[in-house]
Amino acid sequence: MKRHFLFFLCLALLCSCQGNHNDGNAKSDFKSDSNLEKEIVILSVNDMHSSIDMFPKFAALVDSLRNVYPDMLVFSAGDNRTGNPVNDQYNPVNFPMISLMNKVGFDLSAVGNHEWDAGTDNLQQNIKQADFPFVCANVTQKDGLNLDIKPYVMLENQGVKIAVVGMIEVRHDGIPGAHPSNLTQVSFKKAIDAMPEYQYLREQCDVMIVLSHLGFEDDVEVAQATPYLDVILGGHTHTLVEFPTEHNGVLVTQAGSHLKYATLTKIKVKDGKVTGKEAITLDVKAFRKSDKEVKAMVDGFNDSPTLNESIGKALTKFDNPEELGCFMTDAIREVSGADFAFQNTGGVRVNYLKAGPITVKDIYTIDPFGNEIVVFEMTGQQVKNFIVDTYRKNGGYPSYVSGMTYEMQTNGKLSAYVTTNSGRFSTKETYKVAMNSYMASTVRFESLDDGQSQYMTSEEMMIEFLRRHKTVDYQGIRRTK
Amino acid sequence: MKIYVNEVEMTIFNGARVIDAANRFINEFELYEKLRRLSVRDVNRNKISLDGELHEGDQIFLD
Repeated sequence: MKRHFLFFLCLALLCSCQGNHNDGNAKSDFKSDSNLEKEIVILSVNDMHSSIDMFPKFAALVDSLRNVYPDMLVFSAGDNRTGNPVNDQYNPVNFPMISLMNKVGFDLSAVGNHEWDAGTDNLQQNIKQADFPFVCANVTQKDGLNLDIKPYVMLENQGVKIAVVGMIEVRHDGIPGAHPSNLTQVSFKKAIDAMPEYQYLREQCDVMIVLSHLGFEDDVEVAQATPYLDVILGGHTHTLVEFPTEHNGVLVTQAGSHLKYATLTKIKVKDGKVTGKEAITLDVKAFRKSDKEVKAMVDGFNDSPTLNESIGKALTKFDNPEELGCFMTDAIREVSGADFAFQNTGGVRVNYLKAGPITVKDIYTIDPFGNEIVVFEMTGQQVKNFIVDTYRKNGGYPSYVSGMTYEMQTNGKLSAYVTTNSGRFSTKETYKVAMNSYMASTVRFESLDDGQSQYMTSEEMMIEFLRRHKTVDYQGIRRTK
Repeated sequence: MKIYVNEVEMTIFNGARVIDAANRFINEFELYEKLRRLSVRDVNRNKISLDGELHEGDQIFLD
């Protein structure tokens, strides 16, 4: 923190005397003398995750820095969206974030795994709206898909040529962490395998950067394998690299998440060669200034009718949490394609919902936690054991359920008597079972596989379910005893 | 997928986040007091957000 404080102190001093040297001519004077050492300055953020409320501070910080570094570039290392319904449920989805990134003057964005969360059509819409390009070199689009994603860009800053290659994380199953249904028209290659295809750029540029959505450990792995890079500006794992250091001669950075931090990277170049590089972490949330125009934009987005939009109708009122829990689990089961869905009782935060229109805001009031849904494969016996485990964990209250009804029985030993919607249930049969990530990580249970996140939250599934069905009626529904 | 929390190997669902791994560890060892002030670092001692995404083989440490 001392270092952050010192930086802002220096920044304030530099800003206070900027009139002496930064009158607009400084930029061109600097450019005109090719023998001078040039300093390339990049402000990078990553994993903003729809943090629109941080933008007034961030915009003011960018302005202050531009007073000192008029040629400063601003990059995002991906995952600009997902994390705030104001942005993620907006029509069109992600319009607020792209608008704010345009306003602040972003120069470039990597494609993160969450850029795919609203499908390829929405991503294309975002790319068109953006005043800056998106880069990702290890994605291949299938015929007919024409997302304007560039593998790299060649920027020129103060006469210095900067190649910036984009990379996205690829999991063990060959795709990034996004719902597979959003990735049917694209395929991916591991960064470590894709990088050699771009080594030729080293000969064409003075500075070579990877704008990475790989995660810190993978960034270090790439640095070990590709020492010809100068810098990796990273994202994905929400790692706060407080004191960025070089790995195999490559400077690797990452600035936490949600715009709380940013990384200021300086690269010195003389006669086409990098002569020095360093990066410091800036504490954006501690910055005291706020940009009024950007604040007005953010206020406008927060006041938009998006959250009050009716997405369906309750034909009758919801009178108790179990009715809401049944609605919730039906949504989770249907949207995830599972046989059964479970929801912990503590995850339903209201007891009552009136009949009539249901808004996006209502959904986020019922369930404000943003837990992603996970699907496991279980035998029927494991499902029965899971019901008992959750019952115990929940202090003797049964979890809400969809796809079955069950009754807790004590005949010397606690067990669950299950009746499925289909009428058939076998302890030896394999079932797909959906639950939120909180249940998946806090209840001890056995399953046939490790489980797979659906990369959709329970709120998003309820919204999807309501949009499909238009009306719901859960009055008097009881599924557990 | 296999991950390591405070050097203990744990199996957790694919796509899990740091908070999920922390929850699993805390519940497994009943270390509920850690929830009051949860701070997590990676193998390089960098701080990581609770909603950071985890991958096979990742190592995290609860302070």
